[in-house]
Amino acid sequence: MVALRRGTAERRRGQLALIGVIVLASTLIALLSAYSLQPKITYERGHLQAAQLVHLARACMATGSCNDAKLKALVDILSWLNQTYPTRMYNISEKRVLNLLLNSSSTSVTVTNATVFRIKTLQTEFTNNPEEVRITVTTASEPTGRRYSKQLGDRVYTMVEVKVTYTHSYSSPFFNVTLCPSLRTTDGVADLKRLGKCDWLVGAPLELSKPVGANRYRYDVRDEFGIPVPVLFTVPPKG
Amino acid sequence: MRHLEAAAIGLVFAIASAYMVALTARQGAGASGVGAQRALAWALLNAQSPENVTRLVSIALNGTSYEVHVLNPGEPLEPGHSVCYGAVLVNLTSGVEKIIVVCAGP
Repeated sequence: MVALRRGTAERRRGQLALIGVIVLASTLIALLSAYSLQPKITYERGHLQAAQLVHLARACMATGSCNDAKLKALVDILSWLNQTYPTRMYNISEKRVLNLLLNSSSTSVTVTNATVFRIKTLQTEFTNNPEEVRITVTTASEPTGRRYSKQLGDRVYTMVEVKVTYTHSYSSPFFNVTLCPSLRTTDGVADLKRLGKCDWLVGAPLELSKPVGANRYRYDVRDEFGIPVPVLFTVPPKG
Repeated sequence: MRHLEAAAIGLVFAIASAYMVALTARQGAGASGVGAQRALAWALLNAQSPENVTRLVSIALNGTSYEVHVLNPGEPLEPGHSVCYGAVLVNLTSGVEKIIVVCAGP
């Protein structure tokens, strides 16, 4: 009888100890869950900074006469704002505008506008070679040979049909992107039809085109970023 | 007594689960800082106006806690979240300069 009572008392003590352990553990876990974490934040750099430079290059091209001075002015604005806002821009060691590289074949004309930035990334600290962000805008014009008339109000325009392939290529250590921006007319006279992702059929009014050489004309449309897109074509002399 | 033990074990389990959920949520919010940087980069590549950048950021960060500030140069930034990434939008033709800041984090 005594042994039975002793056994029951020991079991009860053991159960109380177990409950004590559980209550202690619960209290500790509850305290931990209330504790506010202080994570160390590492800012990711790369994609945004390269995209920022792409944006600056496009803004410069949208003026229609981008040169090194204009690009420098834009980079200066960025450097100034970088001191106040969290743009976390890299140190830009070089900025260059490579304008209007013409590649002409018998039927098509390709115009390439490129802007190059050299930036000092973390990798540069080890390799000593600045990395490059390159923005290349390419327009290839190929006249189809078709001409037609278009009447708008009292005026009749001679439209020259040109197949245009228009691309933006952005290369950087962080991404390589090719965009096919949409095109729009500035005067409402030209005809625009999208044939494929980057391919367009442009009806350029001859009367509103600028002569840029012997029998060669240029008509500008604009892309969705406001950049002038030169549509180049030749018209055989009348005779 | 057995009921008491079961209740205590249940309590421990509930508190531990709540702690794990809170921890996961905090880690998720921290990871959104990385998302904010890339979302802003993507929006910047695809859009020229502040409205479009803001719209594209909201598409990219759908379901994540974040905030977007569109500021004029010189305007102070008062973020509610701790991790902020900014971009400068310029239009030389119209002379407009805007700063877009995306903030996320715990």
